[in-house]
Amino acid sequence: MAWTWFHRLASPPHIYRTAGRLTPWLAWPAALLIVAGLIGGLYLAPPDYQQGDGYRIMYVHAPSAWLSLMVYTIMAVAGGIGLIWRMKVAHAVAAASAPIGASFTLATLVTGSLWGKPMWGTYWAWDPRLTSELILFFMYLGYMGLRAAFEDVQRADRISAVLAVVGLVDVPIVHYSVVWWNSLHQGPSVMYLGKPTMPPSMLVPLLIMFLGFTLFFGAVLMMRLRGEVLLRERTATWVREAIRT
Amino acid sequence: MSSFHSFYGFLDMGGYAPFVWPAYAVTFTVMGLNIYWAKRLLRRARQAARRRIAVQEETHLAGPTEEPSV
Repeated sequence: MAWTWFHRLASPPHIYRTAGRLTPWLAWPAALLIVAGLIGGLYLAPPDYQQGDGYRIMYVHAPSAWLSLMVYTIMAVAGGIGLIWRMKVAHAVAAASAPIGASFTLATLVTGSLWGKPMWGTYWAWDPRLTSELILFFMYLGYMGLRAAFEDVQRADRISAVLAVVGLVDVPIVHYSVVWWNSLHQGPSVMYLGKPTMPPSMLVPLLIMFLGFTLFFGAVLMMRLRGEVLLRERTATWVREAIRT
Repeated sequence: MSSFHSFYGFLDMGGYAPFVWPAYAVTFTVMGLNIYWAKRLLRRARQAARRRIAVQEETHLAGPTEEPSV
């Protein structure tokens, strides 16, 4: 059948091995890109005409914010797939994503706060963008707290997946908050009406950082996924082979 | 190439050093913790699997155990 590749792809031993093989191929490019992005963003890029060198916080703030939204979306979609098709591996992806997303959401809030102080004169404001991002952080914490409340992994998977899917509504709210409401936060600056608002010397390091952070997430996800898959395979014989090395 | 005239100028970040450097420190701490947590999760999952298998093999060698009658 045409579906056999799909079952093979989603089979725990295949995922365990593939994730292990993929990890260095994601981790090393991520490290190189992040180092390149650091040199470009902190050293080579010119200062901003309004914010001076303070805008350089952008090179860690914006990629962290991107991860906070992307990882939540992956978590919710994986959780949804796990619910609909009862796929253990999808639940494992969702569970593996949560702590990564939560930590980068916290990084987004803290770096944003450190950027806000010199530019807006305050570390925090109950602004639509900031508030919706804080809610995203609480969604992650709620998801992880709910999982921790269940001894049984399968029950934790199903119930936390429902929460993840419901919470997905916050992702577009965070993204469009600066468009829908009057926000302290600046609007989208990478792509505005299809045209970047930055010169290439500023934009290229930012794009490198976006890619580097995304690959970093991929590498950490692969490591966590292997752990989560093992936790769900209590008696399978392939586990004997897998943990021997 | 660079926008800074000296190493001190680089460290000073145009006066924004108290905000720029902590932002980078926080981000890289988060990255480091992610690597640490991921390795710890995998290590613990493998240890747990190893223990389970050891218990299974022990009970197997000891022969079939009595099933509780329901």
